[in-house]
Amino acid sequence: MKTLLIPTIIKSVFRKIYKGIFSAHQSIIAIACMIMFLNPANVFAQTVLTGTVTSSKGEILTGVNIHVIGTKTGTTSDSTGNYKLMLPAKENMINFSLIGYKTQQLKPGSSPVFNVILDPAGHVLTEVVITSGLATSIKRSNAANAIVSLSAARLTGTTTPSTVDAAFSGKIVGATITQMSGAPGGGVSMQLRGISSITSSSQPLFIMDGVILNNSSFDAGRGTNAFTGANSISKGQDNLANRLADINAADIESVEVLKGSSAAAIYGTLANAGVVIITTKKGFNGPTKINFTQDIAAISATKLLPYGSWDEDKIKAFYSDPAQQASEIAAYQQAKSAGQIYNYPKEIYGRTALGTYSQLGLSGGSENTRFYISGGYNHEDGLTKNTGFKRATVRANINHNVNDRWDVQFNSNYINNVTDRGWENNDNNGVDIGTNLTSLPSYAQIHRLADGTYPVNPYYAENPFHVIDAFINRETTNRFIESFTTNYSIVKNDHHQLKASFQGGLDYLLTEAKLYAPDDAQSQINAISGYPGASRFTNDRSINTNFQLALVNTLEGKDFTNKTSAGLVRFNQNLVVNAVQGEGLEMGQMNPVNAAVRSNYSYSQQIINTGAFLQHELNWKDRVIATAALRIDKNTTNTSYNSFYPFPKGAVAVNLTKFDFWKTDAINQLKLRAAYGQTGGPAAFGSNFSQLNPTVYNNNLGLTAPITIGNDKIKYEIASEIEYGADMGFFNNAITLEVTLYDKKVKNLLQPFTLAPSVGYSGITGYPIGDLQNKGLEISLGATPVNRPDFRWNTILNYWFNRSKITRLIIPPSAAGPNLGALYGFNELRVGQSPTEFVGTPLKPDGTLTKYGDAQPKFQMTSYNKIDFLKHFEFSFLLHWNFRSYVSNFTRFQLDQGGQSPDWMVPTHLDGSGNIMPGPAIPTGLARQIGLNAGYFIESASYLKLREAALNYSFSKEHLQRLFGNAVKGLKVGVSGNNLFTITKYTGLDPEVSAFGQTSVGSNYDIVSAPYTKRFLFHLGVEF
Amino acid sequence: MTRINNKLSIVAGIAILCIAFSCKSTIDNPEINNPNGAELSTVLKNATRSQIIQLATGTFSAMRTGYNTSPGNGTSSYESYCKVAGTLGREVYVMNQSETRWVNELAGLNGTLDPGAFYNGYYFSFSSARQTAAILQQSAMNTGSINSQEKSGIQGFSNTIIAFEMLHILNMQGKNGIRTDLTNYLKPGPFVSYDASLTAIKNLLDTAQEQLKQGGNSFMFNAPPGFAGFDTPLTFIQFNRAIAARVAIYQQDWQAALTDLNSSYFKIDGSLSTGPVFNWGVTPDVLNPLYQALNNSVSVVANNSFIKDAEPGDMRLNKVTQRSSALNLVGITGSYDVSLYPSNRSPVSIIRNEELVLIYAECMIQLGQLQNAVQALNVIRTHAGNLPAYSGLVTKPALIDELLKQRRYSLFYEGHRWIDMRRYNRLNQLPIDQTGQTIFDAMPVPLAEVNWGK
Repeated sequence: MKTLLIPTIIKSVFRKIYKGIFSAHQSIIAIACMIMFLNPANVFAQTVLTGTVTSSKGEILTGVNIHVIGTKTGTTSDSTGNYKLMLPAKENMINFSLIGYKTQQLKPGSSPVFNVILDPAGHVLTEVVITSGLATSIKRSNAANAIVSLSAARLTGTTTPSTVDAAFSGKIVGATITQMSGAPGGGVSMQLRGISSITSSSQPLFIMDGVILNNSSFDAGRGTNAFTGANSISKGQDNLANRLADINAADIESVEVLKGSSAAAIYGTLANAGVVIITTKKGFNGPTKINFTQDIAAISATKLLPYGSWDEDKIKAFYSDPAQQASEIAAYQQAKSAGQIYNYPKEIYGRTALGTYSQLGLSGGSENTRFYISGGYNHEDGLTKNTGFKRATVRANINHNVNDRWDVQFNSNYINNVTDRGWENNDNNGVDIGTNLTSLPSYAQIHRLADGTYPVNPYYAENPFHVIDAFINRETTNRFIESFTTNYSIVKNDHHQLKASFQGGLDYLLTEAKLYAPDDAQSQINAISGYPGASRFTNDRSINTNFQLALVNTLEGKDFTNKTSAGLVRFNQNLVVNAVQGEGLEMGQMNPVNAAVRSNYSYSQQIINTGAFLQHELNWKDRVIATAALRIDKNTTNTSYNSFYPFPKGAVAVNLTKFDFWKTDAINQLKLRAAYGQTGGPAAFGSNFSQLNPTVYNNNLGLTAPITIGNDKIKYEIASEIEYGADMGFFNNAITLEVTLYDKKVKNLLQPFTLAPSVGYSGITGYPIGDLQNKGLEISLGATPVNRPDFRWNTILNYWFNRSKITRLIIPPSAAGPNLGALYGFNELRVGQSPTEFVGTPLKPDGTLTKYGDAQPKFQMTSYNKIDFLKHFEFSFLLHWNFRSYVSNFTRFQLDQGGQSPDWMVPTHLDGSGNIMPGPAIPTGLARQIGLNAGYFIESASYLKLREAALNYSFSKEHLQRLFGNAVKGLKVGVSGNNLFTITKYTGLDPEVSAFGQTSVGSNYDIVSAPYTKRFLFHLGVEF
Repeated sequence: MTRINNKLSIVAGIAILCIAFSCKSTIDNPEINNPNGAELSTVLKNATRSQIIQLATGTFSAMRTGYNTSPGNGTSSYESYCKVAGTLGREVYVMNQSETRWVNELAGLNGTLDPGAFYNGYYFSFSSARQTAAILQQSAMNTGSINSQEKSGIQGFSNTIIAFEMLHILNMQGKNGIRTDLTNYLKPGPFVSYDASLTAIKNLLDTAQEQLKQGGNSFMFNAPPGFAGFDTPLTFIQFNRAIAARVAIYQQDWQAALTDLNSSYFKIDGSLSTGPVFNWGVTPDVLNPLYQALNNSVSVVANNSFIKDAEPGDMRLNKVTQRSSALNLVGITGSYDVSLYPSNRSPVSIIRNEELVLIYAECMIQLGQLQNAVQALNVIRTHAGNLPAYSGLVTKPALIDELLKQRRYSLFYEGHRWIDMRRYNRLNQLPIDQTGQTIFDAMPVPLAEVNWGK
């Protein structure tokens, strides 16, 4: 374990160096390799100032940063909102800031007690500190990049999210966030500023308290032939949940999103798709505060697929064989006379499911030791019986100051997540519920019989009730995320600080997937293998470890502040997948060892990334802030696994309003900024391997040709981005405007280089096939249109778009991503065209396929509004408009084939391409099967969604005192909802869909997903 | 703290980083080798005997399945071949509600075939099998672990397989032709015409025959049990010649076909089932992907004309079984499941005496020896079909009709009907089962081939 060596090495180095220099500090330093935190107390203090910070609603505010301007003196408010500050001189202004609240700069009066009230801030330019490097941070007003910073109030304040990534939806300007299906337990794709790769998923790097999180989606093997047989195209179509679903959103204090290479360059090879930095809550000194929140949700389907009604004419039109017509009509008549016509989709998905979300937090501490301990339990039932999502988390975050130079922070998080995803999505064996429902007529009789057996579904391959009752698709994850941070101030005086910091951690997870299809199930009795009853147990074990060692030197002069940071980073990712599968199970047995045919699978991979960085920031009186940085990285996925590659960065921000010549009071902030940076995207593990395939023939081991040939010169994809923009504040930030333009070029896109299939290799695994460009615009407008004590309306309007374009290609135009054939349309790589553009049949006269539209939207727009009224009420909502993204809707086809389309019987002369057919009119459902082209499948999927809405009531301190005495310190009740309505012309279940999972290209396919849900929640929050 | 101390501390800090940096274990990346399987490079040079044996076993296995060892989804080579050629030749329909393109698109309802669709999977599968044989050959030639006689044996074996795989691709591609020079995967040779492709395949089989003759008394590997009787260089020649005879009739070189038959295991009064077969087994082996349970809702059903056109009492109708209820999909109905293989481990015949007798009959018809042809056809009629002797006109056209009929029933769902009707220019006699269907004469050149260009 190389990472563990570091503390020892540093420890001994520190010891040696300091022996000769500061003998007085020897004993302290000897232990000290970790670090940090500037101790707020200042030895030169003269008077003591105390006070309480509350919100304008009377809530206690904990963790408010209080800082005497022009000095190093500062503190934070404790768990009761109280603070204590040693004032060096009475003339100083004091800055009070807290994320989500308007920063105040105030001058205390002569009284030693100074109480402060902060107003909630709705606008974007709140004065918070954000990341500017791996070990440094910067005031937002000085940042050269448009970094989205979300407070807990924005993330989870309106409504309690199902999973944390779902809570990002509509809140990050520049992001495309897609909930991939309606199944419970997550499954969200997030792309920042377009796509940054063709083969990899373009998902950002997630870092929580310094630990690089695993956000994989593990394949349970449901697509193998023993189950649905869907796997021939892409493993992602198993309706997978990505592991961000494990993270408890209620523990999150804030989230920062570094969207492009210019902001994320310091993360080097890992950051081509951006970085999301999650910081969890900390304790504050003061009496222990107990927080309890309980939400209860009613969960129901936003929409169900159309379900056809039947009559004799339709049966005659649907079946061509007279004998079959007769038998179906008889079945229909019998069902009708017995009153046994059913709406199966409604029966299966129509229920209102229950969700409960509980969170208990304890926080507090003393001057030197602070803690935040929490436990959370979320339980969401799925729409389908026996599906759902249960997650329990515990967390302990401990901060300790060893002395005024040295601090230590240890965050520990355990997660247990059990998700029953159900049986939905693509399928070739006719097992999945939705697939069966599309062909199941309402007069079918498939309810479970009194003897406990399930009738054979004569219309397709499986009885959906049997799937619901007896099939298992369960994923259980146990996960530890541990992070350790320590800072040591080597030098600490007013004008010079030198700090050493070490940050390291691990993310260990074991996901155990269990699949089971009983031996008496219809699809198993008819299994091609001839062995009914299948189970598959998969273990996915992943360990991420990473550490970072850094030195930060700050020199503050009269006019200039110089901050230099340098350090080392290392990241190690280790994945092992083991699966056992049994087919032909003993009756009632689930364990694969009880099977006639047992097979197994084992896979492992390891990736190591080692890097170093150097960064320098120059700040001229907050007027001009310039940054230059260099990161060097080596990654084992490169053929030159031990060579460093450089990733430079340069940025400058100019605050015009800070200059003396600025006289326009109406504009209180005008910052112009520009930033440039490079990042890399590592090749997929194994891109340089040419692996022979093992095979067994009559008990003998054989080797067959590799499918793909490795690239022996493989190297990372490289992105370079220039971002520029302006941040403006008007009328003391009553209106703020942030405008950003970016131009991100990704060079040497790795993609399988398709060979002529005659040669027997399908391609060269990862080959630099070309370049792409993402250009876009992001606008954030914040305003407080009404600002009265009893009515305050904050609003944020975000508008953004991204245009991707292939700029160079050394291969012929070709399909990219999952490809079901030109009939359903696919994303095509072609110079001058977006790589997410859908093309499909018919062929145009020039030999190219018809273009239908881009999977990426033309633009997105969100409107967030928060209205505080009558002192205690808060009403907030988030609207999201996605304009013109396109989806290939295969579900529509299934409905036609199964006779469920609403217009199935409408007579028409037009075929699937809209051409007039000779002869008499025929039912639309049949006509659409003739002369079909991709135009039928590819639909515009614009939508307007009410993502979140809430009405909350907070009790004031005084009110609580009257009601409960001092027992209750805070109380909040409310109602909220998410996805309460969606306005769209899209005919499928939901315009946000990705049958093939988190893929960069070929994402927007709709293949009979689980129905999507809306939630209506009741909220109770108590603070003791 | 003094300024000097400050500077010292900076120096100290930098020193810490430098020391940490120079610590090899902190900044060195190890090389990570493939933890999941053997690399191609380990066999291409100085392969051991056991590696060569494993490649030979792999070659036998790839003949069965191509690269896709999962049965059922129609993309493994032999399975896909039978399903696609079977649909194009109106022998079967693949009924699957999840994938109606088997029924509507492949039967021509859209008027054109999609060069990017799943049903082109056979092309790569056969190519991959061919490449496995080519790797075997290259590895055998570049090692000192086997002697020159053993090398000749492997050359003859692998060239036979290479020719066999190319023939399957050519059958599907028809008039499009195929690439025949495939030595450099970055620079494959051009497509050559159908006739030139057949010539190249025939030449390769002839070369292989000569190499096998130099291969000594035994191969240095063991053939699977399905090749019992054809598992030495000299007996493997009989299989090589059976394939050569098939190629010769495609070339309409009747004389050559007869010569090839004579070096094969053709025997007019012998068992019709003589010939090598593919074997199957449970995991980790591969199950027969052409086997299917009866009355399944996902099923390969016989084209209704197969039953309708049969002579009463033809025993070969046992290759299909009437369903308990008909399957209906986008206007196509199927009442009979294909039931050629009784179990998922039933062997699949590669080329058997039944086909060789039919090849003989065809040569006789074409060479004007009609009585010999009738005699051969009667062997088929009586032994395979349990039918009375042929009683129709003894003329060339009438006997060709009869030959094609016997081939249809004897070689049902083995990928012959469509090719037979094509080489006799009779595709227009295949049934149109639904208004708007098209009978194709060739599968499209796969998109990736088109994109690669010449």
